[in-house]
Amino acid sequence: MSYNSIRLPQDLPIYYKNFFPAKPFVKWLRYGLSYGDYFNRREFAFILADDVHIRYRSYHDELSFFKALTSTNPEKLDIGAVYNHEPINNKRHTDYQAVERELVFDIDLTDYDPIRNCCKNATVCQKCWKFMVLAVKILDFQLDDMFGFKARMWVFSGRRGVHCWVGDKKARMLNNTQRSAIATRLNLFKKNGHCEVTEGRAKMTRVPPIVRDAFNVAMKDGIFEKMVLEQGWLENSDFLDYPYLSEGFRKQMLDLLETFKTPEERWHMLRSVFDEGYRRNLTSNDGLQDVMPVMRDRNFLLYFVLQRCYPRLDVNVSTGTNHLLKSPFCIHPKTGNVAVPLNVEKIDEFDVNSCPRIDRVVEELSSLLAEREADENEDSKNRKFLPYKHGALAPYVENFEKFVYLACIS
Amino acid sequence: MLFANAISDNRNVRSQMFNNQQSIKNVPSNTQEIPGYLQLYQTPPGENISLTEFDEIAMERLKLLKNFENCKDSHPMHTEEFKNKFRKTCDKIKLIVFPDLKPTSSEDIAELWRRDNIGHFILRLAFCRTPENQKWLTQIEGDLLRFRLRQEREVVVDSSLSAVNFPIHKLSSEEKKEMEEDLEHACQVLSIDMKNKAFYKVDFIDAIELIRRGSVHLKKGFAYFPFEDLVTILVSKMKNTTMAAMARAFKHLAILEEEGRLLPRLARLSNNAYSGKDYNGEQADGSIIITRHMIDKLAVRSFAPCMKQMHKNLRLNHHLKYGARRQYGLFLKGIGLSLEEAIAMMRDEFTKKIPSDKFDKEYSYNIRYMYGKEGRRVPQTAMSCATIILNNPPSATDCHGCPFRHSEKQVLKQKLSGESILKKGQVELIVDLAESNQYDKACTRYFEFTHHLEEGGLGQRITHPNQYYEESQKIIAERIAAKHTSDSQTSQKSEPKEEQMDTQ
Repeated sequence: MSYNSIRLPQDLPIYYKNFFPAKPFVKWLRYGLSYGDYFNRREFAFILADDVHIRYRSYHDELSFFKALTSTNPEKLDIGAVYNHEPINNKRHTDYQAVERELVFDIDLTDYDPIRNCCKNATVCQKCWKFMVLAVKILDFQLDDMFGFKARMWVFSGRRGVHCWVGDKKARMLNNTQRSAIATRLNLFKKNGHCEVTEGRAKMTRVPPIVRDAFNVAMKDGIFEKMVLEQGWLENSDFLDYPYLSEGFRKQMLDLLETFKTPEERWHMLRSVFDEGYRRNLTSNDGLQDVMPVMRDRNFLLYFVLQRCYPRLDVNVSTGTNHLLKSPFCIHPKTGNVAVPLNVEKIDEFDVNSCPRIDRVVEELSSLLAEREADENEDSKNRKFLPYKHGALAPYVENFEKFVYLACIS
Repeated sequence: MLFANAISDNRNVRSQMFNNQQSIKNVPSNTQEIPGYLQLYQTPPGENISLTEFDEIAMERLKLLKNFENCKDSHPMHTEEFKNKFRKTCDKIKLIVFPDLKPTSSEDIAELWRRDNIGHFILRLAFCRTPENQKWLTQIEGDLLRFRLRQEREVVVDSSLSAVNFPIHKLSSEEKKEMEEDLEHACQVLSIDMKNKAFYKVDFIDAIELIRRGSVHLKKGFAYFPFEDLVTILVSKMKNTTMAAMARAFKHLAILEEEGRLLPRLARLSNNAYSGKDYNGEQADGSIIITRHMIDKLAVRSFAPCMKQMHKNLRLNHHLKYGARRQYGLFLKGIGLSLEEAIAMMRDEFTKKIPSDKFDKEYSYNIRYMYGKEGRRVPQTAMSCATIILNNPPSATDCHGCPFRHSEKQVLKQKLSGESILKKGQVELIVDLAESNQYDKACTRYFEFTHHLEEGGLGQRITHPNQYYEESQKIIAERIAAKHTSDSQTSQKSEPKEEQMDTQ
């Protein structure tokens, strides 16, 4: 059932009042400090209907923020940087400038169009989501393994992408040069659109750890194998588009393709030729191939896999300290989806099409309230009722709170 | 004396400075840094120093940096040509750049360390006042440090690391073994080299340059890299601290009550041509007296393009606008044109369009003011290229400014092509340099080509129109002298044809 945005203006006030998790949200942006030390210098931007932008909002505490949110009921809420002065007074200071912000990454499915065969542009299906699953798993691993960042939050953007927020103190303090260096390092795609699996002086065979680790993460849970079959990448010989494949080896491969007709067989064949870990567990009965690629041919499978699943980053979003980014728990105006924080461990279970949607979330309110009325327990009745902790949003709020905890102790 | 971060004990320092004592001791203020001679300039000096020594050390370091820049300009760094050329200029300078020139006595080393330290920090103060200056100093000091570190043997750099206040850790052989494969592949080290190679570990924030290049191993927030990259890390650390310290120092300079003493000194260091001349028009004894009638000829031979342009404009329109009157007038004063001559020259031209009394009323005051005869009564110095380029950009009707900076590409090309002496390729080269914002280089090439020198033959960079003039005159004089001797040697039948040669 597609979303009808006509009801959005009515739903937004109810949503913000009952379901926006203002408490953990503000707790996150305080980072364990008092309001005056940090939160009040954070920029918020409200985007109203007809693309009216209200920038440079800032608030002194949870209550004033919540009041502004529930009185404005914006279509979209953006989080900006922490400035050296309160953003609301930005005109009063000549040296007003962004000083801190989370390190953010933006991955969008449209960047995968060259290799995405199931859908195009804005449409997203369960098959496409696997691209995001692998991108998130790889980048999440790297942020921890390479840079030691602990407070990472992955947010579904509401339609066809994901955002990553890194809240570690060290990540927030990065300047623009440092951000761009990190983004450049993490980005393996070169200008020609090809994924670079070897680099530097020893271009021929050396596979740097970043590539090897990404490959291992991608191959771990069999998700990539499913994608190979779903996307039909092995159905013809187009997949031999590795720019460094030698002519002799290409011929050998084409011969093998004659023997192995189905995509399943071909995938097994590819792994038995190129994937050393896979090879080790094979005997000649299992179809161990007697083909030994040399030099750059050896990296063919690495290229095949990473070209298709390595995160395609929008580097510009990560580079600027003062870049605005859509807040978690705000509504995508076109799809009505709530931008929910994801659990990276279970990210492959997430279904884009059953993501909490504002109309359904709001409808649920009356039943939640009725449930509470019916609750016999006096104790829980006396406590303040927080609808966002119940119903469809609850598991995502939990993901969020886990991140907030990590962010505050970073 | 006061340095970058010493503002807290400002008053105390200032009272000491008023005593203006002669330097008491030659001991490094703080032995936290390397007692040897390499340093990352983390600790400012904290001793008293005489003004004489202050000036001497500062000028010496400035000269060194300037020479370094010139050599770098003509040869790529780390080449033999560069080293030889630079070594020649280091002879008289009390700062060790080449390890083999290191003195043997530890006292001498300590003294050199001290001068290195003081010199660097004075220049930080002097160059903190504009972003351009900050950038220049940081860049050139960074390059110098890189050069010096690259000259050093591994042991020296290595042993001095522990003395630097910088969390950098050399991997033990066990640590190295644990991640050997990753190190080899990430840092692109040849397998045969792995055994003897030392690896280091820093917080990844301090290895940003390496991260961008990709040739570094990253693990859990730390960057691992081989000895070769250590220099990069140390230099960028030094540059970052220098940049930050200068930004802070700039703020503090405002509350420093040193208008009478330190501030003018610092201004002089950073403002005028770095050669230390300020071109105020005071001529040495015995130099030729310049009259207004000589200007036309001099303009063709020896004026920088900016001055040529204004002179042409003056002759053509019999008028100059304010910006040009100042820029050109101060330049003329700088080459030694007297006040009387200057007024006469302007009057001759201006009165072709306006009555004489109007000139006296409206224009002569300003000329006298520049010569220090009116108002504030301070003789003013000629503008350097930096001043011309950074301040008071010309509007469409103005003719001052720097042709390389302020002309459109096409216009500049036209102007240059108008000089019959320049070949097409040379024009292209100059225009390209100007396009990529290297105005000083463009002007230097212009100088060399118009004086029939090799590219890089001038051996320095033009940073002041008066420097351009002096260098040009020097070359012409040399050529005339050479011509004289060769002529008198070969035959005496023809007059020396200096005219033809030196107007080129």
